[in-house]
Amino acid sequence: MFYKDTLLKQVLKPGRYTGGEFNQVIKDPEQVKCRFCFAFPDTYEIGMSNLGIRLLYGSLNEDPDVYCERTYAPWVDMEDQLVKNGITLSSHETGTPLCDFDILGFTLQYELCYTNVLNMLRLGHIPVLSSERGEDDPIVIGGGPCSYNPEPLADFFDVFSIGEGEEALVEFAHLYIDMKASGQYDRRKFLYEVSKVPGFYVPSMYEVTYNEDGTIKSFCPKYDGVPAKITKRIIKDFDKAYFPEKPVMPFIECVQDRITLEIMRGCIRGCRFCQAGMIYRPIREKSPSVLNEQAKRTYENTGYDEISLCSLSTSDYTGLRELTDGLLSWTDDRMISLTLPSLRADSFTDELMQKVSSVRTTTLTFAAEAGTQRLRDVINKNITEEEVIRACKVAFAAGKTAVKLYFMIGHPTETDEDIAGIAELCKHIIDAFYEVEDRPKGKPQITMSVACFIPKPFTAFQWEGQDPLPEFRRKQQLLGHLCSDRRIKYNYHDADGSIIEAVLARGGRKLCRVLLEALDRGMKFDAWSEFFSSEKWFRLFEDCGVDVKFYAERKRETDEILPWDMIDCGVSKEFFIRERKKAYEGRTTPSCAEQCAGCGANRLGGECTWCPNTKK
Amino acid sequence: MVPEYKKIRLKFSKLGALKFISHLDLDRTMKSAITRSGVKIEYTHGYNPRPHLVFSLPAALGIGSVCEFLDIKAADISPDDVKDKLNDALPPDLRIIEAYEPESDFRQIATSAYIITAISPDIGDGTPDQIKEMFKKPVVIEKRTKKTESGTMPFDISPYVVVKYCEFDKVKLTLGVNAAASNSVYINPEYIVKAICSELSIDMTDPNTSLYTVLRTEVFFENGQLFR
Repeated sequence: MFYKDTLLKQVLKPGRYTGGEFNQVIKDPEQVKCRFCFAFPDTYEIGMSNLGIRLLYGSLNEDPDVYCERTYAPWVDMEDQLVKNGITLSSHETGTPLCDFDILGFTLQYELCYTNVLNMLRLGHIPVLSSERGEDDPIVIGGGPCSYNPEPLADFFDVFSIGEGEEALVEFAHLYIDMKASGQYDRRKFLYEVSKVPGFYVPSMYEVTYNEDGTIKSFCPKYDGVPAKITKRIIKDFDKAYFPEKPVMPFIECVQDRITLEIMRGCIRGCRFCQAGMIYRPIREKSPSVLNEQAKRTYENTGYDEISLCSLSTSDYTGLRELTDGLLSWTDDRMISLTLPSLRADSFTDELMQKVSSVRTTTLTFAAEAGTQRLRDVINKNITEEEVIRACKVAFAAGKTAVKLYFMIGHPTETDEDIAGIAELCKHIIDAFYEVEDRPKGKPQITMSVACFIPKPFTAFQWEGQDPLPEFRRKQQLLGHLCSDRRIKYNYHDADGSIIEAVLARGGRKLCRVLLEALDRGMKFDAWSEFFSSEKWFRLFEDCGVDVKFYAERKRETDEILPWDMIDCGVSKEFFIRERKKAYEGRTTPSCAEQCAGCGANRLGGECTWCPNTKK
Repeated sequence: MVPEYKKIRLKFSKLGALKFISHLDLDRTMKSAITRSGVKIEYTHGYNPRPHLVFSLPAALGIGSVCEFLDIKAADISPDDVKDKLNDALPPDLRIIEAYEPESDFRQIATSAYIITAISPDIGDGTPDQIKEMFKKPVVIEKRTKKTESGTMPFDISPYVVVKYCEFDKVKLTLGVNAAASNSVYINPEYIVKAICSELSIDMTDPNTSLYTVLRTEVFFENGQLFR
């Protein structure tokens, strides 16, 4: 006999593990043909905030043949209890041990969760290495933004889903069901069949060879019929895409606990450091009327008092006025507040300000990303200082005293002048505060939040070297010296986390054994400052004979075979090379709304808003 | 026209998964359920208007209850309709048992009745008399407090606990107690369980062998009458 209550009484926040939330899906496991478990490699509070999981959980459960459940990384106190009492990590809905599922799916949102993925496999009593899994073990599949360079995890996953999974995963589950039903299933055969389905990458079907300098010499399919390139999947008609109108509602407070309306996928801006802006192309918008209906029904099913409009750049959504007018016509009386994250300074207007503040408001945040116009042109941010200042003035005039600005240091071609520009821009915003006649009482408070640049796959900067650690620290200090004004709050993180992230983001298969060793050393929750230890990571890399500089600081040639070259994200390599060249020349590229830059994503088809060849 | 709001008291149960959520989270869960139910209730009048909910002293984390109270102010609806509409919108582990217009105040609650059950292979040796006797002498526990540096202080719970019945059945102990539950003295029943475990020298931490549950069944006025 096992008493879950006894376990729950001994851990912090037991509400993380109870399950039984409102709107959770209950099915009879005996009546389905495929049991799927979604694993989120971070805490419950973060996992429950993730829109992707809501989408996939809902779309898989729409299918009567599939039962999709959920599990999250147990906090360390719960892990201790599981290990001490010999209990297997299990699902929320039915308490089924992870090893008893047919398919286990991980969503890979950030590189620093990789150690948690391995730890969860072990706690779920599933062999960590794909090659050691037997016929009775679940098929382990990964997806999400990090799967665009899945190579550091190649040894641990049986398969990766590349691109948008709402339709692809249902197809995947049905291939499994069909092969089981026809008696043709065995693990190898199934994975071979999967590798031929568009949008699925099976690492064990490919062979990598290396040059003497450690770069990749060749990357080839091992068997006939396995494609050399894996093209990402997209949802072609976003209006018809599945939307979770009955999201599972957590009992305990989560990071994002509100209605999240995804208004568009993709981004018309071509910021050269931004991976999300590229991998979610082509740009597809959902129509305001569909969104309004979905918001209403979700409100009726949840009772949330906040609606957040989610996209990479909300103010670029062409139906924004119609949508916000439509929403405000019924949300205002019901005391529902509207939040619009990801606003661009150049399109932030009085009208928008009035709409967001109609019930409740939060701090306004603008991303300037760099301190000088020269560098903003290099990274193709396409925003001017005047626009940032005008946006802040709008906020001040509406009664705000606090605004937050995002910057990054370490961009290619950056000089100390660009660092000084960050401080200058913030000072100009303070001056602007006093220029606003109907400003609120008190002092302005500018939060200057400064991150470190991490070169990411599928960006124009994917070949760039990252600043070495001492250089990052020097720049951070320099900026600190230049910002003595107490009205500016300077936020930054130690740079070493960004370096580890850079290694994992652009690494290849050779990093698998490093991660395996990290598991043996008990490393986990690396996205949490109380657990992350750069010392442990650097020692780990050294002990495994991995040169951090090779992955983080080394500038690649554009003809080098990159670990993620087998993936086609829609945007072509030629486009990235062109963009990189323009960056070095300080030339900008207009947004998709102004002129097509020929990125290539329109090849994927779909009801795109801007792409010339596919426009409705 | 400003609707006329009247106070409605909801007596509800909190079981299963809901045992493990804090008061703040219960508050959020109730609010969203009320919104879903379509029952119009009064909002607070501050800068950030929020549904106005007043709970009686809530059962502590991990403790089940069939006797929790919540006061709301609703307009143009009968207490029975509030009950039905809310039950349609609540998660299964939260149920409205009764709804009525109250005449009393939560501050008049003095004591609470609990049923404690414990299952453990080591329980067999105890006797009901042993448990009854133990509360006739001081029972000092480490009570949590924010005032001292260690966060706890010694506290004698025996004056505030009445053992009503006690049964031993091989591996199972069932206990009925009344304990103080007023604004001035509130005895968390977990303390009673801890004291008993220590008296019987049993360990209740192994999920493979042991379990204890605490269920709040009733609350009373100072004079011993059922609170309503």
